[in-house]
Amino acid sequence: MNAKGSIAIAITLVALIAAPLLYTAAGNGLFTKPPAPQLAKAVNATECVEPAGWMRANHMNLLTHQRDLIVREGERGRKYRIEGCATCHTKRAEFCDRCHSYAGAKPECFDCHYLP
Amino acid sequence: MSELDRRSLLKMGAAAIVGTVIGNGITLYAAPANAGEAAAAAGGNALEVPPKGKARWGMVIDNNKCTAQCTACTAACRAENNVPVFGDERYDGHWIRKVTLTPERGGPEKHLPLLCNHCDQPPCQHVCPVAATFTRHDGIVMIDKHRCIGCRYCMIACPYKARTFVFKETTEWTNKDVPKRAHGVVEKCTFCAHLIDQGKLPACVEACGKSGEAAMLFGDLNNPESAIVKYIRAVATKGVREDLGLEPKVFYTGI
Ligand code: HEC
Ligand code: HEC
Repeated sequence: MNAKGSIAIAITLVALIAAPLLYTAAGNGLFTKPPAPQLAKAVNATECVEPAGWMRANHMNLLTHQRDLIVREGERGRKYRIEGCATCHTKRAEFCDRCHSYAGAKPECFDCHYLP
Repeated sequence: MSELDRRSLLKMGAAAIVGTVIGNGITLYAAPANAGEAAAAAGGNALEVPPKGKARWGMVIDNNKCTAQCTACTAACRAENNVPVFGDERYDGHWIRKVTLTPERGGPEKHLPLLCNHCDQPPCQHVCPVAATFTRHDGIVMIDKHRCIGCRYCMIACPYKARTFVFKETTEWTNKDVPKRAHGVVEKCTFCAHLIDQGKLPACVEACGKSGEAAMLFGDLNNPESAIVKYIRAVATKGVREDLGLEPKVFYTGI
């Protein structure tokens, strides 16, 4: 068999294998960007403890850093206690959880810390 | 001079002042100062918290007053710290529990609350492979549950059996301000560090004073003016298994 023939066969094979995969992927909406999560509005305030954009990007570092200071150093009364988020973000399921599942993040904090 | 030396010296000093040594190790003490009254004098639920690194928290339990039936301290601890009772002793957590001592040579049984003794030489901390157990700046031995891997070495190391493993998570929140524990970590008494940091007494001490027998006294062992130091100076106190040299910070009278 000449080179041309084998290339044609290869292309046909790839197309045959890929077609059903692409078909289901499109059906599952993999080529469209999923809609941004609808986050519940914060109550009692118009501003977050830090600017919202910064919080979006950095709240995980903030919370873990403060966690060590509070637990290990006993420096309580800090501004960003995890339970403190609940004073304004009153619905965890429609705020924290919704964004976390969108982003594929799985913080285990809420196994132990109560956020309504 | 180590803390232990200083304590035994203090005791000797106290004996010289308020007691008369009658003979071979027998000491007659003046009527014991009242732990509960001292706590009330110290201002009820308020706690004077010195600056960071200066305090060394300790507790005195007057076992002459503690009764077998009273569960004020254990109930208050459970409510404050979300320590569950499932009704199945394999799963129940205990931060403070009532134990019965039967003297080897006969005599009346003793019932005492036993909790984490917050040793100055904590064996649990020494064996912890991930440094989850640590000693805070004020002498409180705590578990960082974020780090704990649940290996349970510490439970074996602790001579007081003060630690329990979370086999089963509770789903009930008795106090939403305090975290509960997830499956697979070890938990124990924290001396209610979260309350101390707010200048409040631990839940068990407060409950004992309010609805119990006022047998517990809590305070700063570094402060010579505190009620607890005055009490320890005046009355003979003993730690459980002091012979192990772990320098526990929970002292008992009447055991
Ligand atoms: C004083 C009330 C208040 C507290 C406390 C608070 N937030 Fe916020 N937060 C807000 C408000 C209001 C916004 C919306 C701000 C905006 O859109 O400009 C916000 C926005 C955010 C956002 C961005 C959401 C988005 O739209 O993308 C994140 C993430 C966030 N907060 C996390 C936290 C965390 C984590 C805590 C606890 C440490 C916390 N917040 C505590 C009021 C608060
Ligand atoms: C705008 C989206 C968004 C919102 C809203 C949000 N988070 Fe997050 N959060 C994230 C992302 C993304 C991560 C993962 C970061 C990573 O894994 O690197 C994360 C991680 C965390 C972590 C660290 C977990 C870990 O294992 O280190 C904590 C704690 C946390 N979030 C708490 C909260 C709390 C509490 C709220 C609600 C008050 C909240 N977040 C709301 C996006 C969000």
